[in-house]
Amino acid sequence: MTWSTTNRFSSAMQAPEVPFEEERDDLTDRLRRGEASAVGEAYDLHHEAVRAFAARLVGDRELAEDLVQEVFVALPRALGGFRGDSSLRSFITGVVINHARHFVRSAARRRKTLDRFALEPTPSAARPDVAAEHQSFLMALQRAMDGLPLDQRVAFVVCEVEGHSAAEAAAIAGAPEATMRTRLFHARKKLQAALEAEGFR
Amino acid sequence: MSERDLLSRAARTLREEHTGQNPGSGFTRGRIMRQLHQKRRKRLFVWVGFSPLVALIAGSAWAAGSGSWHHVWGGVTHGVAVVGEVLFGAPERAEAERDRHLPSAKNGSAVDTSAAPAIASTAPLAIEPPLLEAPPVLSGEVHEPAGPVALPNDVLGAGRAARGLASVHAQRHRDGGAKPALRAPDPELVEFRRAHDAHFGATGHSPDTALSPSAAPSPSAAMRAYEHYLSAFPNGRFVPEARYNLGLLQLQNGQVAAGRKNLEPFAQAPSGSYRQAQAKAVLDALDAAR
Repeated sequence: MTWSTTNRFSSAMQAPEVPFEEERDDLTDRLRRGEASAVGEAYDLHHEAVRAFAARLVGDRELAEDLVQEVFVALPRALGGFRGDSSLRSFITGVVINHARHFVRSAARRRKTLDRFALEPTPSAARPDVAAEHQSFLMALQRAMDGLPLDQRVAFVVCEVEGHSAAEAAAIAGAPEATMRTRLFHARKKLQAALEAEGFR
Repeated sequence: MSERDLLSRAARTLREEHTGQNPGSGFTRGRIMRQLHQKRRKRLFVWVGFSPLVALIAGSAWAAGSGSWHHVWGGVTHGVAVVGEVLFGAPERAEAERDRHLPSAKNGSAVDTSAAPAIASTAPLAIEPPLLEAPPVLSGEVHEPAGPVALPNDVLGAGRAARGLASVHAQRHRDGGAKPALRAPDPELVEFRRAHDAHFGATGHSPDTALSPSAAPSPSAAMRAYEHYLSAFPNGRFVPEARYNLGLLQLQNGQVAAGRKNLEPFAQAPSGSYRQAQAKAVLDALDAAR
C-alpha cells in the first residue's frame, strides 16, 4: 500500500471534519441559549485547563473545584458579553478571574488558620528532605501570593505561570496591556521580596 | 539564585502543583448539570407562577380604569371553573359554578348574560305572572298590565341607589357633621334626596329632608318628586338614577307607556351601561307578557 493510498483510506474512514471556527460558533450559540448539554460539552473540552488556572490562582484545590463549578454554571449568562474575538477557553479564564475574588479570600483565610494550628499535611515521598523543602517553598509562595492584590496575583498567574503574553493577559483580564505590564512588574517585585524574606534566594 | 530563577521556580512550582487533573471532575460535572437543571426548573416555576398573577393585576388595573371590571371578573371565574373541570374532573361542581354566573341559560330568560354578568349573579329576573295576565288597554298601541307591575328589589335599583345615597350621606356627615350650620345645603341633593326618601323611605339621617325620619315609602309622592327633580335639574348629577327609578315606579303604578318611555333609553344603551341589562330584562318581560 502506497503512502497516498493509506492517506486516502484513513481520510475516508474519518468522520466529516467540521471546521474549528464553525464548531466553536455552534457551541457558543448553544451555550448562549442556555443548553445544559452545551455546558457539559464545554466542561469536557476545557475543565482541566480551567481547573488548573483556578487552582493556581486560588492556591487551594477544593476551593478551586467550587470555583470551576460556579464558573460553568454562570457561563451561559456570562456569554452575553462574549464578542468572539478570543477563544472560548480565554473567555472562560476571564470568567474565572471575575469570580475568583471571594475564593481567593477564602483560601487565604483558610491557609492562615492552617498555619496557625500547623495542620498542613506533609506528603510522604521517597526523598523526605526534598519533599519537605518543596512543601516549605510552596507554603512560602502561597503566603507571598496571599500578600498580593488580586489584580497583581492574576497578572502573575496569567503571564508567568500560564505563559501568556501581556497582550493576551490583557485580553483575558479585560485590562489595558500597559496596565497588565505594570501589575506584573509589581507582582514580581513583591513576590521576590516576600520569598527572600522567607529565606529563599 | 537570581531574581529570575526564584520567580521561575515559583511559577514552575505552581504549574507542577496544580495540573488541573482531578479524579473528582466527573462529580463536579454532575453538580454543574444538576444546578443548571434546578435553575431551569426555578425559572420555569417563576414564569408559570407569576405570569398569570401579573396578567391578573394588569387586567384588574385596566378593568378598573375602563369600568369593565365585572366583564373581566366573569371571564376569570368562568375560566377557573372550566380549568377546574378539566384538571379535577368535577363536572357538576364546575357546572354549578358556571350556572351561578349564567342562570338565565337554564331558566330561559331573555337577559343577555354574556353582556351583563353582574345581573346574572343575582336572583332571576321575573315579572310576576298573575299581575301581567290581566292586561287592560290604556292606550291604542300598547297593551299594558292591569295593575302595578311587581318587580324584584334588584331591578328596582334599591341596591345601587341606596348605596349611592348612603355614601353621599356618609360623606356629608364626614364633611360637615361637626359643623352642619356652616355648610349651605346642596339644592340638587336635597331634591333628589326628597324623591329618594319618598321612594325607599326616609333613612333617618337626612336633616334637610321634608320627610320625617320614619316616613314610609310613597310611590306617588316619589314619582312627583322625581319628576320635579328632573324638571329642575335636567343635567343634574342624579338624572340617570332618577329617570330609571321613575320608570320603574311608573310601571309599578300601571303607567306602562310612560315607564317604557323612561326605561327604553337604558335598554337601548350599549351593553354594560348603567342599568342596561335590568331595563332590557324588564322591557323584554313586558313584551313577552303582551
